[in-house]
Amino acid sequence: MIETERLILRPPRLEDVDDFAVAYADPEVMRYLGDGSTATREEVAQVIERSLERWNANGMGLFAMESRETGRVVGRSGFLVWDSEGWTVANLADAGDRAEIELGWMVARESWGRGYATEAALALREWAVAERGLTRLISLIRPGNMRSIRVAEKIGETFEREIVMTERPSLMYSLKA
Amino acid sequence: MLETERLVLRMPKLSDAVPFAALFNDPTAMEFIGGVHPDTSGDPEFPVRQWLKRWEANGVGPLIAERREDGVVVGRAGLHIWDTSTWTPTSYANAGEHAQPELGWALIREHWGNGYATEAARAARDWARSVGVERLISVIAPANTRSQRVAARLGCTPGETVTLFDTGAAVLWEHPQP
Repeated sequence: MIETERLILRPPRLEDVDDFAVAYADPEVMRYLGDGSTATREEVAQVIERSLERWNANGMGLFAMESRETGRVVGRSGFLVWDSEGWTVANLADAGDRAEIELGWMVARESWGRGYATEAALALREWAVAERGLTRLISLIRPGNMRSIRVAEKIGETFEREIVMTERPSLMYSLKA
Repeated sequence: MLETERLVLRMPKLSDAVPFAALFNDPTAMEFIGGVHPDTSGDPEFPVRQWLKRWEANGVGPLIAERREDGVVVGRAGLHIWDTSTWTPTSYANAGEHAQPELGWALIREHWGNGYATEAARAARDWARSVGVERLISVIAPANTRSQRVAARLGCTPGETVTLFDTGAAVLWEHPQP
């Protein structure tokens, strides 16, 4: 568990499904994420379950961003392991030296514009270095997702190159820790 | 330094990063203890430095089990400190009254099946008692039958199930009171 000024960052729980479902059902939030489609409550529950499996396999994964003030989950941030050959989500053990670790974020629309994504990502960058010894992080951002590009820049990432992920171009931002 | 019939338990040193890489990269051995480690080849000594930091913070930590016969490193056994309000690994200072020491162990897979974990953990437990630890637990995933067998051999009894910060449900195995 990680505490920041306004957030508690912790692995997601199944009880978070309702808070997450609001964000995942919002086309505006999902526009630049994954394949851009929204997700149902059942699909969100699967996302949470899968993310707990990833935690077990990789010692890292998604964190729910819980508001310290209200106790509500305002979004998620955290780590996703990619196999850089083909850019599919993987486990560290399977991807081996092709593994790239992404730091990503997503905030429900009612909580946009308050700097939550940056606050969480900065804390997680620090955690990744101090607790997991990571020396490189990437963020995969769809072209045009200016809000996320701003977050990436605020946490010290710079544009590295363009890749193709789920058949569409993505901008790879990265940082050396 | 502790000695058992077949093992020596000693403080970690930076060169332990080499034999332990075989453990940290092994999905089978890491299945119930947090998963394989990310690539730290840019800083291979990172995990050992983490252990040494815990020693520095808590005055206790993991001990490295080395075979007496040939000096081969077989695994680790020792103490970790949990914050029981969140079930996050931490230090005595950060956890305050929620601090709970755990006796943990892990073996490099090629050394499984020789009883080393039980032997190392038993010696580490005696040491934990000698430094004043009273309630001692081992935190074991419900599906981790190998470690459950070690705990049972050590005379532990399964107690409460808790939710760990990162990897979900785990059973607190209580060590017998000294």
